[in-house]
Amino acid sequence: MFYVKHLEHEIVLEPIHFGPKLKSTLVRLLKEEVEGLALATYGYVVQVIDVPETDIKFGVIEYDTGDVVCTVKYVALLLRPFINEVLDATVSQCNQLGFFAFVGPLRIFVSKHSMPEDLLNGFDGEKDAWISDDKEIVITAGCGVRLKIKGRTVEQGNITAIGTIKDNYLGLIDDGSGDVGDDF
Amino acid sequence: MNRGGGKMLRPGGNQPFFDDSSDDSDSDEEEEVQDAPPSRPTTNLSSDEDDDDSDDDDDLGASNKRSRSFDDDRKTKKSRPSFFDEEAEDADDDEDEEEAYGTHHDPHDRVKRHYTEDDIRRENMDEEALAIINRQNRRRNQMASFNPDDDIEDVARQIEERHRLASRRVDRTVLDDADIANGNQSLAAVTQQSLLPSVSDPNLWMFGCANGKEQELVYQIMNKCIAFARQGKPLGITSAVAAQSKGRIYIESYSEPAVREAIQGVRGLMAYSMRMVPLNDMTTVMTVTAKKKPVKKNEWVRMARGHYKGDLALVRAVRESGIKCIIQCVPRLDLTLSELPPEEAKIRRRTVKPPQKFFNPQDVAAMGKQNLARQRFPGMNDLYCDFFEGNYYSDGYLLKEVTVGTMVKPCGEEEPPTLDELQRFRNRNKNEGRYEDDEENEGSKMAKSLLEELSDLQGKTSLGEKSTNNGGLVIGDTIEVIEGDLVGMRGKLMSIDGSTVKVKPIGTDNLGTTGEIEFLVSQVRKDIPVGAHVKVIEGRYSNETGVVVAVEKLEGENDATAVILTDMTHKEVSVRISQLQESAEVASGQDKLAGYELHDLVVLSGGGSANEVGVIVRVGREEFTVINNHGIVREVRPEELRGKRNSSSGRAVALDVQGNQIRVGDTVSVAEGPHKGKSATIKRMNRAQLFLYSQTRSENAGIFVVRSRSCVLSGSKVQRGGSDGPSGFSTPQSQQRGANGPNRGRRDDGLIGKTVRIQAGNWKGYLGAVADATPTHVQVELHSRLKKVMVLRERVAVVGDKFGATEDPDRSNMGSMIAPTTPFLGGATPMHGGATPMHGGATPMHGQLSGGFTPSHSSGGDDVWQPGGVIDIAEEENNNSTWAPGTSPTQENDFGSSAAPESTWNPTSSDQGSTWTPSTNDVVPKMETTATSAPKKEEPDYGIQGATALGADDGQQAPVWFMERVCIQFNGKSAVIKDVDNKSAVVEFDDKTTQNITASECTMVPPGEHDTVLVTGGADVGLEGELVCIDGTDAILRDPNGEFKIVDLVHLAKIVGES
Repeated sequence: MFYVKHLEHEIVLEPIHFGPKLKSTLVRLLKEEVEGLALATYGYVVQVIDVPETDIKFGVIEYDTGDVVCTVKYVALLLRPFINEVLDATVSQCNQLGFFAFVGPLRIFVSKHSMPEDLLNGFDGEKDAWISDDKEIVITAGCGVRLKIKGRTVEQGNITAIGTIKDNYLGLIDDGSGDVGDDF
Repeated sequence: MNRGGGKMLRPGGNQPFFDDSSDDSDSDEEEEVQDAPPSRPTTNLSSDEDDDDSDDDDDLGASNKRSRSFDDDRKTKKSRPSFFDEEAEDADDDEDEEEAYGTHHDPHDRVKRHYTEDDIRRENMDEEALAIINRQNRRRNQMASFNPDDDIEDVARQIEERHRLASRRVDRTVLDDADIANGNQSLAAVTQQSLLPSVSDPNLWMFGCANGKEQELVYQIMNKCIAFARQGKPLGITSAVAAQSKGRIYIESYSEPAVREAIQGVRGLMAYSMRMVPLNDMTTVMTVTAKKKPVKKNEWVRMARGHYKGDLALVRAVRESGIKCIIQCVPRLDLTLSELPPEEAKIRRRTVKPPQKFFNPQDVAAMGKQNLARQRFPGMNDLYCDFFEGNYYSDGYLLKEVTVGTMVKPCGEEEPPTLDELQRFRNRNKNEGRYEDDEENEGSKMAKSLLEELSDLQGKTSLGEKSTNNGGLVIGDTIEVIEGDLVGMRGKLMSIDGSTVKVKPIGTDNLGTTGEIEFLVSQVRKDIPVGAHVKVIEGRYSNETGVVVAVEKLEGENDATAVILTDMTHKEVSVRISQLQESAEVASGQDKLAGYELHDLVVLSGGGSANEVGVIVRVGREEFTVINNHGIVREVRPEELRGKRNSSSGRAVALDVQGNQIRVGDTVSVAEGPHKGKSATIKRMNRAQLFLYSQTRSENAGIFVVRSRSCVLSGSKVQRGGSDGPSGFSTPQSQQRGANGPNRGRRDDGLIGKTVRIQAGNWKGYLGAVADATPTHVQVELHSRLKKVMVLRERVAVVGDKFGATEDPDRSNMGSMIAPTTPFLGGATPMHGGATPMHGGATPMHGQLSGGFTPSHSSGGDDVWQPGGVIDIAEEENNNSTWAPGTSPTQENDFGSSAAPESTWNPTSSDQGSTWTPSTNDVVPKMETTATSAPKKEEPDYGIQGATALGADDGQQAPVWFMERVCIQFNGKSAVIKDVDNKSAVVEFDDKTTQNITASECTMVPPGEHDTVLVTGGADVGLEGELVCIDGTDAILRDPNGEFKIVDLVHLAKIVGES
């Protein structure tokens, strides 16, 4: 789920940055440091929306390095996967165990066990695609799928999730051709 | 019965029976047999029956050799049941199946007195031999009592009956051995011990012979023995044996000459290889290896050959007394084969292993295959099968009659069927309902038996819950109640006390306060949801970690099975939930063996190429799976590895398709080849081969091999290589290609592979391809000579791509092509002083070239010069406001390929008197348009150095040796350059007169031995020293420190020593 949240981040400023554009440097460094990062409890920081200048407070000089530690409050757009959340994702890769799909920075793996029965043995190694028994559904890289998050793993700076398309209203929603699918 | 191995013939009558020494569990019977006195031939015969099947086959095989004809014998042969033929064949191809050829005529074995040769001779008298023959004769007669139509079982029963009879008789006659027969074990052991050969027994000699000829040779010796005995001069050997070992036969005798005599004239026996077997080894010769485990009905076997190799199969029936069996397995059918042209199909059949898939007649019919039929499986009358391309398919499974041992092997303890395999095997039965065949009963029956097998096997192997009496419950686990009133309730395990557990229910907030509830261990089950990260705590996959992707519950099973996607190897494994524990730990399972770990770069031995390396992609129990530098995956044992190369891989640097430096840990995307488009991290590298790791790949633990030149460095690192300067100044990659600033130590390979013309020096005018480049020099491989020369970088002009020169001949001589340089302005050590300005001077050259020649490229650029990379770089230079996107493809081409007559550079360059800066400004729009702009940062350089450089006649360039202190020749007079002013210099002649001359007017004095010389090129440029000697094109010189250097002679210039 995407949501907006007020967060704090500590930035270590080197003395070289002390100067007229200090605040914009702080903002730049903040963005460099946090954007794309996965915070364990909050999810991926998709974008730093706003850094209220009023919230940039004075920093503290570190005694031994001369660096300044500033705490910056900012507003960020976050993406956090929730268990049982339904998401639309883009398939990035298929292999014989399932496929990987992305929702922005979030990688979701859908195992073949989490696919409908008619897809279970439908991996086609030549096309790198999952094809249903009746050849109606072809899931391949570039497709859009609607999936449900079943589990997630938080690693250092990274979140991955396990999804399923074995449920009502889940599965292929866009065959990747650019046409608007008529499934829904 | 004696299975002492091999054929044993005992031509002599009364010798101690050597073979007794072979301790065999069955030897008690043997004892009985041998202990039967010779006066009771009937006993002998009947007791022999046990061995008869093979004995008689051997007789059959040897009967051709036998000149003596026995009528009865022939009769027997004719009426021999076919069953024995097959037995014989089997015995022939399988040496260890052979049974001892005990003719067993020796009456009493226990007498252990020393036999003299006389004794033997006496014993081998004619009548003895005849008696033997008669006995054999009689035995064959008895063979006729076998009814050829009898079932094998009947025959077996008959033999057994007779045997029992014989045992009884023996019991009565032989007292001490009866103990053995009664199973008195301790006594048996002692008796066995006493049977071991001692010094008083005959010796054993070993002979080499051709493989497969062993039996034949033994027969020959036997025949010879009998023949000699008949003639009244018996051989002094006691036995001849072909034991299990191939290519060896053994002869037993008291004397060596007797052995030599016995083998004389026997062809095929290598007499020179005669060797006596030491006493201790004699038992080994006769030791029996365990018989092959027979397969039984409903046992699991593994296929041993072909595409099916390693596949699990179920024995449906055993045929021909265990030689063959009918197995059931999941077919690997390639239906596309018949559509391919024959040659292609042949290759595909050989190389591609089709996936396991159940046979579906509807599918096959849909593909338009004609030869699909319904048939009975031969020999299984009640079973209707689909018959397709020579194979029978029942219920989707393949049914096939195969030979035990060669085609299938029993599933041993080492490789029990995995849960995975069993489920794959069973899956079909789950879906049985879909196939409305008349075999539903059969199918469900199979399913049931398979399920039983499954649970049975799981109990047997570590897959079961053998060590866990509490289902692997640990405090803190989430559990589900599976029995009792509260079925389905979930809770957290609070404590375990013997067989009871206390559980705190989850999600019962709205039910008021609920305390801990007690359950029996058997009433609860560990509950692991899909998506949980778990660690396997026991069993086959112990210590693997991964994410649960599915939880399946088999009917009739207490414990559910979780499918886990492992973290490290990206494999799916099935594990029982009781063996799992939720854990955040990320382990790699088994990842170490003999000091090697997963993803280690290792040097492989063998396999042809000397420096084959590979990366370990799987660590097995005893072997590794390695993907080598050609991308080929194979299994190697730890002994085959010759050390790790991880550290050298960590230091290595390669170049991507754009010439960016790439190292281990960088992320690259593959630009060409089979992995095109993939993005991955460099895990290891070896020379130009990258071992890339991608988390999203499951095969080979995510590792695949790509050449470094097929990759593009991705991410922000692209730019960093060249610009070490202050931030904000980013050097376009293209700029570096030609004009390599002196302040950059970075290796730049933009020139590599290009065709250049050497502009000055010994090789002036030569065309060549750049083989290597350093910041200051390039190594040019001359087109016209088989030679590589090192040339200063600015002395080459790029004239073409790797396919040859594309320059315009008219333009190539244009003096203005060459950058004006100020090489030797001042400086006490001229070369050092000279080098830096030279680079500075070089920059305008490139600016000129690129600026000037753009038009020609936009009209007719060659595609080789257009890798996409530079475009990316240019895009990052977006702050360049005049940058025109449309021209971007031409950027690369600008570098100096062909010249165009229309050159914007010309006017500015001819503007000689002015400083560079204004002219640069003139060019700026152009340059920026083509994104090859000379960086502003360097402009000051032009102002200072470039300007002075331009002051002189820029049509000529002074030769590299044109500097102070160099000895020259001018109009036949020798002189020394005193003061250089660009192209001209003040020289001092021998008579101390001075004159101002230009570089073109003089020539260098070739250095001779013991001259003081200056190195003007190559790796040691700038070095001064004494020329020690000249060896062809090389010169050896001693530098001021007294060290010796080898330098190309062409790089040397004679100078006068410093006074």
